[in-house]
This record gives sequence, structure tokens and C-alpha cells, in this order.
Amino acid sequence: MDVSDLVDTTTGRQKRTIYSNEELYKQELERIFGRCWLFLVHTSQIPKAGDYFRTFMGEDDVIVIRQKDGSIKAFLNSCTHRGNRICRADRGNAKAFTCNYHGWSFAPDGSLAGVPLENEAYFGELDRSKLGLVQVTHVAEYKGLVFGCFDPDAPSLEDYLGDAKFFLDVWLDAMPGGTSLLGETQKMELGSNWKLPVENVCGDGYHLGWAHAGAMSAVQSMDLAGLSVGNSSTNLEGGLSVAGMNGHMALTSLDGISGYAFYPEPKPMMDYLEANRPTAIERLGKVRGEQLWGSQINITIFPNLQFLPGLNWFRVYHPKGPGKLEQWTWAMVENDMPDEMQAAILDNQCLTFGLAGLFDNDDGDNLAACTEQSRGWRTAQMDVFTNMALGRSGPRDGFPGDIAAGLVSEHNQRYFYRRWQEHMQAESWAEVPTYNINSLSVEEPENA
Amino acid sequence: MTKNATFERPQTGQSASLELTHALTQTVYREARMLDDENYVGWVKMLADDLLYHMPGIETRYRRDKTDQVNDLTRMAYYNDNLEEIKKRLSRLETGTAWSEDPATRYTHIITNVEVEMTEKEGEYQVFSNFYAYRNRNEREEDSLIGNRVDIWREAGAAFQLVKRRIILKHNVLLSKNLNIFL
Ligand code: FES
Ligand SMILES: [Fe+2]
Repeated sequence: MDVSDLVDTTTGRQKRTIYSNEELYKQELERIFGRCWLFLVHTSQIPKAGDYFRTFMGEDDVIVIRQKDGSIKAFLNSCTHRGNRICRADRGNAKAFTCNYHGWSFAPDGSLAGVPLENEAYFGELDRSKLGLVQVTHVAEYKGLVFGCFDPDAPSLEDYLGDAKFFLDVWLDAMPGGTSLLGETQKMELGSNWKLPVENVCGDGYHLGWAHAGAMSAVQSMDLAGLSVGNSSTNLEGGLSVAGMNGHMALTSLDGISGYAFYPEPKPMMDYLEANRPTAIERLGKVRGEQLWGSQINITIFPNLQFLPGLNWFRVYHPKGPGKLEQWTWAMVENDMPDEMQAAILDNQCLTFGLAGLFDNDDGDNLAACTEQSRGWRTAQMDVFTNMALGRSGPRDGFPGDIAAGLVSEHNQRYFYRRWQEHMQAESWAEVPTYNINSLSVEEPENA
Repeated sequence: MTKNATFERPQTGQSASLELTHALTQTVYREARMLDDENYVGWVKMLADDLLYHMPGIETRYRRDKTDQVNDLTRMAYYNDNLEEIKKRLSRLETGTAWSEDPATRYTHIITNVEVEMTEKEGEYQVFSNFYAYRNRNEREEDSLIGNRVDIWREAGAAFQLVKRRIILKHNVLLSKNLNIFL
């Protein structure tokens, strides 16, 4: 389907049919989820050989397994005999995966290790070497984050991430001890198109003071770029909307502390930041160490990964049809954080962005209703707008990307839809443009 | 925030008298009615100052995986609240700006399978129950949350106060868009 008229990034307009059309959804599964690097697992979630974690790539059920040699492989979670699901648990450790249907058994490296009645019924003629689990084409790691990709022609993960690494490293590399994801997976089904929460978190600082006014008055403990309950103020100097990095985005405040603005008791976090600030500056340089580490930062890796250092939640959205998604959330920590601080971070999710979290209560309701209001015969033809601060972006000293001032802007959303359109129009990776606008040659600080 | 707290009270396994069982059954019914009515002022009065309100998140694991996803209070939870935190949640509603709660959700809590047992602590009782909580919103949004509860209730004058509650919800993927509900 031609999508050239469905998104106009020069005026900031989208046709609502992109949130409800079945045919477009199938095209997304092929051209976005079948083509892009997708987050699979954090290395901390499968530390030992035989540890596995189940996830989705688009609607494909995938099992990610730590190998004997420490490497990580991913396979379609489907038996090569009759297609049954091999693994039914969310995660665990296994020496083999045996199919419930007829008992074929697969080793953690995906090879078909055992077939009942192989000689008696197959007369020894089965070529087991051709019947291993189907492997995800590419699996690669960036500092603990493991991604998979189905497209043999995809760029390397490093190139795919591009300048977004500047922001990724604010979490992944500020401290020498590395990072972890904590907690059982919090899974929630939501009657929303998958693009809407991504768009919301990638750039929509506008909704915070309004949609979350009640939640903010309940838990906000410090200033966040001047955002206030009821959207009565904002401070354009206090934050940046950064886009133009291969479809990835960052929305960040600049004070180095406000990531913890929604913690009712942020004192231990402030102490940690203060004690370790010199280390972060040494590792990340002055701009990131002083202004970004500890700040509220929303990082989006196209298409469906988002995480917020500071608020410390890490989330993927799995599409389940044009009008439905599954949202998976974990708590994210730096391993150098003291145990009590890690516990407090995990615990804070209960109150803020967990399933019972006060903020999530607000968002789910709005996103589902936006999706529904794109399904009618008339509404599907209507436009929606992301035209705030149009044309007011540019370079900024010390940062990569095309940047608009403040957290309240729709700059990032326009780039999200631009990337969506670029992928949907392209027949193959060769037709997908690469761009890292205002790229810095970031000097990689020496890692200890 | 009540990390490393132990949930259990030493049990005697001895069931309570008919009179006590009746009184506590009526108590959990009354609590359910307050939640249905969004009478949170009344509900909070039924909560003890040292409340632990806990709902662990439970993944699907094979039986051979012995990870204790229920009793270990340091693991992920949907609720792990003390009284202060419960009050924070309620304060969001009181602001009048929790737009997603207006129009109101219509709740019905059905409480069944009540059993009351003595604990080793004088004046504290363990109450088992099952719940079926039904929510309906706007035109046709609805969902059902079903599970078990284990409570500790403490005598407080002529009434009882909830000291601990563990809620075991049966979902893996939560099949509704939030948990804006107390169970
Ligand atoms: S489908 Fe798996 S063994 Fe037959
Ligand atoms: Fe939000």
C-alpha cells in the first residue's frame, strides 16, 4: 500500500487510518517488524548457559537462549515437525526443549537432538541436520541490550542505532558495573495501535502536565523542566527534543537529577548521583555526565523499544493486530547502585509505571480511545496533527541530532512518523535512508 | 516499601469460633461494599497503620522452576504498598484531575470461600478468601479479575483492621488496560 499521502512530516499530519487499517498493519509486520532490529532481551535476564527468555518479534514468538560459549542465539519458538510451540514458559533454564506433541527434542543451540521412533517409523531417513529450530537471522548485543533482526540485508546493529548510542550510553555506560533489568515481566494488553504509545513516550511532553495532572500531584517531588500540573507552565530551556537519528529519539531534561522527580522519596537517589557524578563525567564527558545522567530522559529505539533512565522503566510494545498491543515492562538499574536503591526503583513501579501505576492508568485510557476514534468510516479518513513547534529545530552544541527546545514539542513525533513512512515505502533495506543529522564524532571515553 | 518483611503470621491452623468467623466474614463483605461504593474514606479506616498490601507479579514458569514468585517480597509486585502509599494512590483521585477516572468505573467485588483461622498472636486472625472483581466503564468496557487473598486482620476495638493482604491474581498478561482497583 502506498503511504505517501498518509503521513506528511512537513506539515505534521497523519491520516487516522494508519491506526486501524488491517492491510497497513500487515505491511508493518513485513516492512517494520520484519526488517528492523528489535529488542530481545537484556543480558542480565539470561546470565547462565541454558537460560532462556521468550519474547516476540512482531507477532512471531521467539525464544532467546544463552549458549554454552556465552553467546546468545534466538529461534522461532515453533517445532519444525508440525509447528507446535516448543516452549511455554516465560523464562527459565533448560538443557533441551522437548515438543509436547510428538516428542521431538531440540538442544539449546537449536539443533534437532532427538526424534522418537527415528529408526522404527522414519526408517532412519530423516535428515535431522535440516530440521533444527529456525534461527533469527541476526542477533547482536550493544552493551547488554540484545537485539534480533529477520532481514539478512539489514545494516549492523551499531549502524542501525547510529547516534542514538550517544543517549543509550547515558544508561549503559555511565558507570563501570553495567546495567540490569529487574523483575518479572509486567505484561498488559491494551486496545491501542502500537504506534500510539511509542509516539507518546518518544516526544509527547505536552500530555504530562495535563493527562497525568492527578498522578503528578500525588507523587511529584521536584521540578521537571518546569512542567506543572494542569500544563500551566513549561521551561523551554529545561529540556530537549532530539530526533533525526535513524528514526530513534530522545526527550531529555538537562538538570541531571529530575529523572527522580516522580519518586516520593528521592534522597537516596540524589546521594548516589552526587557521589558518582565525577565517574559519570569521566566516562561520558561533561555534557552527558553533568546534564543527562540523572535527568529524565525518554529514549526510543525505533520501532518499539523505550526506556527512561531516571524513572527507570524499560518497555517494549508487541503489536497484536492494528487495534491491540501487549506492553512489557521491567525496572532498569545500574549495577553500581546500592541494593536498597535498586529495591526502591523496582518498588516505585508499583506506584508510577507498573500495571497498577498511577501514570499508566491515565495513558492506557487515552491511547485506547485514540485508536477507537480512528476506526469509523469517517474518522479513518480524518487527520491528526503533530505540528507543534514546526520548523523550530536545529543543531545544538555538544549534542547530535535535529533538536527542538523543551520537552513540550511535537518535533520527535514527526520524525517517528517520517521513519515509519520511509520503511513502509521502501521495498528493501537498500531503499531505506540512513541519517544521523548533526552527527558529532563522539570521542568514546576509555572504559575501565 | 516494606522490603524483607515477612508476610506470614505463625499459624495455629486452628479454625476460629463460629462467632469470630461470622464477624470477620461480615468485615470482608463490608470492605467489599466500601470499595464498590468508592467509599475510600471508610475503607482507609479499616486499614491498620502497619499495613502491607501486596500483589506479586507471577510469570508462567515450568513446574521444575522452584523460584518463589509469591512469598519473596523483594521480587516484582503490582502492589507492594504501605498505608502511606495507598493514601498516595487515593490522593490522585481526590485531585479531581484524574481524568481517566471520570466517568467513574463501576465495580462489583464478590468475595467468597471465606475461612478464618487463629494465629499465634492474640487478637490477630488469618482470613482466606477468593474474589471476583468485575469492572465496567463507559459503554462496553469490561473485565474480570479473579484470584485468592490471604489476609491478617487485627481486632481494633469493636471492629477489625486489615494488617496484611496478599493478592494472587490469576493473569499472566493483564487482559485490561490498568489496575485502577483495590482487590
Ligand atoms: S509438532 Fe513437535 S514433535 Fe510433532
Ligand atoms: Fe503518559
